[in-house]
Amino acid sequence: MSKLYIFGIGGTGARVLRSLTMLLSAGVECGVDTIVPVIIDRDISNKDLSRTKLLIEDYIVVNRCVDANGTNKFFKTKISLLGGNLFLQLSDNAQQFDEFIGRSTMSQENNALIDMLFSKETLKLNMTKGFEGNPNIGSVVLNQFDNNDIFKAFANDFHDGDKIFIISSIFGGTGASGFPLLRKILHTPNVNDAEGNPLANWGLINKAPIGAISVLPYFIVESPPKGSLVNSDTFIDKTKAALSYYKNEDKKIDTFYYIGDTLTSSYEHHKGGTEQMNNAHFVELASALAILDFVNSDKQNENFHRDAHNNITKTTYKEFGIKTNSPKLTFDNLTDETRNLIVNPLSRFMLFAKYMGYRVVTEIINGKETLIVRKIPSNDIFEKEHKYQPYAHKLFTEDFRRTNSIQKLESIQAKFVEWLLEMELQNRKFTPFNLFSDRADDFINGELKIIKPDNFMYKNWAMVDNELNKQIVKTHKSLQNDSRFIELFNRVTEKLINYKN
Amino acid sequence: MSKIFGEIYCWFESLFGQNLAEYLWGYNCETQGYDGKNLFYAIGLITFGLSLLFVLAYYYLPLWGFNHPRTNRWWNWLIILIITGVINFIIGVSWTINDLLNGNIGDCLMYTRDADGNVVSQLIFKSDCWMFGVTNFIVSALFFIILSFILKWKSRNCKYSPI
Repeated sequence: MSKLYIFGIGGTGARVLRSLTMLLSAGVECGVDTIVPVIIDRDISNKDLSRTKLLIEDYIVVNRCVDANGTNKFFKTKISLLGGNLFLQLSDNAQQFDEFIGRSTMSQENNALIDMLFSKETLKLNMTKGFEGNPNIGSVVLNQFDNNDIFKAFANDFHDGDKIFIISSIFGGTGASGFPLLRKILHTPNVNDAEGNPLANWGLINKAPIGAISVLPYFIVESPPKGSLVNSDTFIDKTKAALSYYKNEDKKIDTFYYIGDTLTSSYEHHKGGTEQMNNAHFVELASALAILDFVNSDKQNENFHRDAHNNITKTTYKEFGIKTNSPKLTFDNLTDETRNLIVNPLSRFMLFAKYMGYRVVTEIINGKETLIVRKIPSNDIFEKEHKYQPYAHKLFTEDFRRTNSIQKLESIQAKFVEWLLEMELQNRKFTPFNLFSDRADDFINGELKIIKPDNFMYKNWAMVDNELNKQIVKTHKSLQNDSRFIELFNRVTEKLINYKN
Repeated sequence: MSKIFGEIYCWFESLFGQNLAEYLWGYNCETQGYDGKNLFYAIGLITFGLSLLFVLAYYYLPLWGFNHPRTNRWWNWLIILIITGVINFIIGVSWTINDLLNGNIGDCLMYTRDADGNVVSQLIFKSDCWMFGVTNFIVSALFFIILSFILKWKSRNCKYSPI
């Protein structure tokens, strides 16, 4: 059983992991059995992180109930947490940067050096909510990974054949500084923990296949208030500076992915904390696809170039592209390779979520029209039909929806629609589906016509119920009801939606 | 086999009258025997056949209204039962009224006469024919219910209709 350890650094790391979890929920093909995510950040109150954490926790519950050996693809890939933890929390007690570097105990000469290297604002920076886009601070503070318990758990858990992937942004504070530091530690031989004991399996980790994605600017922040160091006018300059440093990573990473977007969205300025929660963006979905590309067994020859001593001889550089440029992307704008990967899984999972009643509606919240995801009783086909349809008879009855795994499943379905809605609201919109549609047969935007009923007599949701009634006899009777339910919907949606290029 | 249908109909003989029943059994006034055509058998076979046809259509024909996820409620089943029943009701009524009006029913079953051959009373009326139609509706419903519970189990969309 091979594993992929993913280190997601900062807010971008958390958001890409969120997108990856959505793709895995939908059953996108993954070349490893298990994903082990670790989010590295100082600012663990960040809402992007907590949102990703809740999603992954729900995913783990649902994954436990699906049949690992069956044909079901939804939630098939296992996600496992190291010691039950997702966060590698940097736990020094210092709040301000000058405290962290111990300025009060420095000699006069060292103080003078510090004054030359860092501005007064930088020295007084409150780091509890991150580094406010300053990788020069992050590179000092983050140099403490190896003391962390979760890092030890990572070392203990690592086996031959496992892979490593690092997600970071290049224009922020935590990601830009964290990525090269982390990569350096992973390749440092004989690393010891805080007690001086050698970390287990470190030799394997040094030589493990390693990939990374560096996310270039794809959003800007609105004008910061006085006193804030976050300023998107500096993003491009910071990107250039970081890219020039990253030349040093050549032949240290097997495959290096880059992605960005010139069509940027504008986010509200927040330094971090519970207010920092950016909407999902297509760039994050594409970044998640980079992870799946890295572990794709068909791409071993192009992703990995090693010599007889297992040293990297060449780094493969990859960028993500779309077929046709447009501010509003549907499946039609994607390349054949991307379509083959995501059209079927996303469409099938969307149909499943719609059957359970989840769609986008407009509500007035605080006097403002807001788009929101709700379970609409009149669109909740399962609730309306399970009393009458043979597929549900004595299996999926009144109490079924209250079981923990099904509640988590529905929570993920709601979050999935929300994730799609957020991507639709960006300047670079990703709108593969009509999220307002209450029909089963016309919710895919663009030219693709991929829903195929086998009989013209069954229209709309009757088409789905007919297929559910047909497929239930093919699901394994030995499965628990929740597992059987998910497998059933996977079979049905595969029959109805089968896009081929 | 031919007697079974007659016996089923005669459970409801009180509805349509003994004399009409005798006619349908095939009683011949001239020979005073049951050597006429057993119309219970003919009508019963048609009733059974139609019930079977509609049951099979409801559970297996892929057509809107039949074997469809939106018409598998108990009331959809009931509507098909009623439609089948009404058709058989019409067959029952029209067959017997036709025979009544065409004089096909033997005189000894139709009238009582005095010594001079004058009609003292009529024994079979149109209302008896209508009641035979009602009886055919009931028998059709019975066939429909029994056939439903025997044949529905392989139906994709309706196998738990009506229960």
